[in-house]
Amino acid sequence: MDSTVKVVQGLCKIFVMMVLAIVVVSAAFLSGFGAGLSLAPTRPAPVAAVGEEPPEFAVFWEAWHLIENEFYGELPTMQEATYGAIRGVLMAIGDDGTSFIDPEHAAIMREDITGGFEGIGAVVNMLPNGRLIIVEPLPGRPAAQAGIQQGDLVLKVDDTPIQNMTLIEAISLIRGPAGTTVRLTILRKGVKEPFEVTIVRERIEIEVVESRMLDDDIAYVRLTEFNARATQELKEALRELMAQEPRGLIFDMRSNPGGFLQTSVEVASQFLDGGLVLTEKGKGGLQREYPVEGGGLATEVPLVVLINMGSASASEIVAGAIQDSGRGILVGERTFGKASVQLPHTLSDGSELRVTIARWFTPKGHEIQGIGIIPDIEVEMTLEDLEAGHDPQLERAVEYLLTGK
Amino acid sequence: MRTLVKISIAVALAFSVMTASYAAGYGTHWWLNKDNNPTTEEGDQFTVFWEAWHILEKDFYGQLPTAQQMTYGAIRGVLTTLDDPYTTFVEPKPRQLEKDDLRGSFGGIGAWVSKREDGAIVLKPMEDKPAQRAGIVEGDVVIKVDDQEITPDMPLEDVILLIRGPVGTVVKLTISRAGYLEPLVFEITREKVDTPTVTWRLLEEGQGLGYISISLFTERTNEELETALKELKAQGATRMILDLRNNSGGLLQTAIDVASQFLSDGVVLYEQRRDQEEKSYPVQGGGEATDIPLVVLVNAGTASASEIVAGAIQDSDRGVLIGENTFGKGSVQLVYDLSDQSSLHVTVAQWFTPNRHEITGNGLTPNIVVPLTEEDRAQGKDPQLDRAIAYFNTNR
Repeated sequence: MDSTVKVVQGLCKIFVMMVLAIVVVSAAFLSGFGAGLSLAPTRPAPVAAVGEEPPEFAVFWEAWHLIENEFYGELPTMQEATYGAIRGVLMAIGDDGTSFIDPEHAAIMREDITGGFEGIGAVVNMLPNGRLIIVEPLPGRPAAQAGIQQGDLVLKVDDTPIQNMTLIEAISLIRGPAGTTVRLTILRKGVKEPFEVTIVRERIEIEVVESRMLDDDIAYVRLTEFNARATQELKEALRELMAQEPRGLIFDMRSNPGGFLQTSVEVASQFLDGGLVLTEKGKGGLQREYPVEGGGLATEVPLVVLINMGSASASEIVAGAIQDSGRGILVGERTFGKASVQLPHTLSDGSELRVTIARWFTPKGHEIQGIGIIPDIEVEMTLEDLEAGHDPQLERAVEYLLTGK
Repeated sequence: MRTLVKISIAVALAFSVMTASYAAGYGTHWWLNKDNNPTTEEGDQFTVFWEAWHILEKDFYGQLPTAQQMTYGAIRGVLTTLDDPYTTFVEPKPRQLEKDDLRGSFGGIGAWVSKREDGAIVLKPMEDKPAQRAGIVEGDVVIKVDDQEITPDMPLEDVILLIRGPVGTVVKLTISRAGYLEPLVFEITREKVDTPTVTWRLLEEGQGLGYISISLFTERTNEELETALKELKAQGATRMILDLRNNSGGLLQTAIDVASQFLSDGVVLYEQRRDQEEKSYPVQGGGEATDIPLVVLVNAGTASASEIVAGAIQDSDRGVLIGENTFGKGSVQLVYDLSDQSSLHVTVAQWFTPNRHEITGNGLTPNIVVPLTEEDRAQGKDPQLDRAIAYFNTNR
C-alpha cells in the first residue's frame, strides 16, 4: 500500500516538472523581440509557510493597513499591491536582468513556443536610460509597412507610457491578437514632436536563419535569434553553403538580442574546433566552463562576423568566443553589453520571475557587462546608409575576405 | 560687513531646510500599533510575494540588499500602484531631519555642516552658538563623532544626525585642523538651535510699507509671524506685503494660524476625507493684521500650505495676489510614524478654498499676473515686488 502511494507521488512530481519546463521554454523564447540569456528551470517555486516573515517586514503591513484605512483615492487590488511590492523589491535590488512578469503577460509569451507570435514585426530593445528603441522593423511586416524606422523611440503604447518598464512588459503591450490595432507614440531623431503611428497586428512566423551566396564565392548567413530551432536551422544553412566551397563566410549577428545559453554554445561550436565558448560565474564563486562541442560545420573557412549595438547576450557569447580564439574577425559596431544569465521561475499564480543567477565571461576572461564587445574593424551604419539601401558593414566584410585585410 | 554675513547665513539656512528632503505634507499623526498582521485573505493573495522573495534569496547572483531595504522597496512598490506622488515612504534618517525641520528647531551645536568634494565633512560655526564657544573654527574637518569614525562615503545626512541630539546632552567631536599634527577633541553641549522661517523689514520705497517673507510653515512660524507683525506695526507699517513665493508648504495647523493673522472671520479651507462629511476650518480670530491693506506675492513654487493661506486671502477679498500661477497641490497628507521610525506620508484628503476652488492641477491665479524672468533674476530685479509697491502707491 505504501509503495503504491509512493509511485503515484513520483509520477506527479515528474508531471509537474514537465509542465514547468514547457512554460519556461516558452517564456525564454521571445521571437524577434527578446533579449537575454535563459536557462531551463531547475525547480518549481518554493512554497512559503505562513507566518515565516522576517521581523523587518512588519512595517510593510503597517504601511499597507494605513493605506487601506486612510488613503484618499482609489485603492489597488491586493493583487496589484502584491505585484507592486515584488517590483519594488526588484527596484531595491537594482539588477536590470531580474524582472517580474504578471500572469497575463507571461501567458502571451507562451505563444512564442509555436515559433511565431502575433504582433507588429519589429526587433526592439531597452536602452540603459529606460527608453524602448526599434532596433529593426522586419521587412514587409506591419511595423515597416506603417513607416516605423530603425532608431525610433517608442514613448507610449496605446495610451500607456512605457518609460522604465522592463523590455518584456513593453513587448507584451505591443503584441496582441492578429487583426487588432496598436497605436505607438514615436520619437524620431530629426522630428521635433512625438507622433502617433497606428499598426494592424498580424501573425509573424519567425525564421531565424537567412542565407545566400554573395558574389565572388562568399557565403552569407544571418542568425536573428537564439531560439530552440536556431541550431537546426543554422546547420541546414551551413551544410548548403559549405557544399558550394566558398572562399569565405560572413556570419551576421547584427540586431540579434540573444536567447538560450545552450543554443549559443551550439552555434559557436559550428565555427570553432576546440577550446572554450564561455565561462560562467555563479553564486558563491561557483565557476562553470562551457567547452566547444565539436563536429562543427564551418571550422576552417575564413570567417567574418558582423555585429552592432543590437547584438546582445547570446550573440555576444558567440562573437566573444570567435574573437578570443582568433578564429575570425568582427566587423561593425560595439555590441550591447549584456553578460548576465537569467533563470525563469513560474510562480504559483502563473506570473514569472526571471532571476539573474550568473555572469558570463569570454574565454579570455573579458568582462563585457555594460561594455560590449569592440569589433576588430569598426564600421558605422548611418541612417542615410540604411535609407539608401547601403550596407557598408557587409561591404567591408566582403572586402576583408577578398583582400585579407 | 555684518549684514552681509547674516544674509549669507540666511541663504545657507534656506538651503539646509530644502535639502533635508522636506516633503510638503501637513499634520502629524501617531500611528498606534494595532494588530498589523495580514488578514487570511491578504496573506493568501500575498503568497507569490514570498515565492519571489525566497527565489531571490536562494538564486540571485550578487549581493542582495538587507531585509530592511527589500521591505522598504516593497513598500515603495506598493505606493507606485496608488498613482499619487504625495503618498510617500520616508526612511528613519530623513524622517528625523524632516521632523526637526517642521519643529523649527533642533538640539545641536550651531554649525553649518557640509561635505567637501573629497568627501570630508567640514564645519562652519554660527555666531555665539555652542560650537563657536567651544572653539570650533571654520574649515574644521570632522574625523569622529563620539566613537563613530566619519568616512568619506558616509552620507551627509547620517553625520548631521550623529551630531544632533537632545538639548543638554554632550557630543564629542574629533577634529582635524590645518596646521595641527594631532587631532583635536571638543566636548560640546547641545543647545536648542532655531531654524527661522520668517524674515521681515520696513521697505525703504513707499511710506509705512512692511514686508514679510515666510519660507516654510513649521511649528514656530506663527509665533515668528506674530513678532514680525507687532514689530512692523510698532515701526509704523500701515500696509503689508506677504511674500509666499517658493514656500513649499508645511503644517496644516500653521497655515490656519497664519491665515488667521490676516482674516477676521470666515473659513480658511474645507477638507474632504474618504467616506466622511466635508469639514471646515474656521478663522481662529484675534489676528494681528486683519485690517491693514495687504498684497500676497505668489509664484509656481508657492505650494500646499502656502496655497491655503493665499487662497483664503484671495477668496475673502482680504488682499490682492500678485505674481504667477501657484503650484496646485490640493491634497492633505498625514505623516504616520511606523514602528521602526520610518514614516509614511499618506494623502488622506482633498482641500478646497472658501469659495470651493479646486487647487489640484489648477493652482491659484493671481489677481495681477507679473512674471519674473531669468533675466530679471540675473540682474537682481524683482518686478513682482516692484508691482506690489506700485499697487499701494497707485491703488491699482
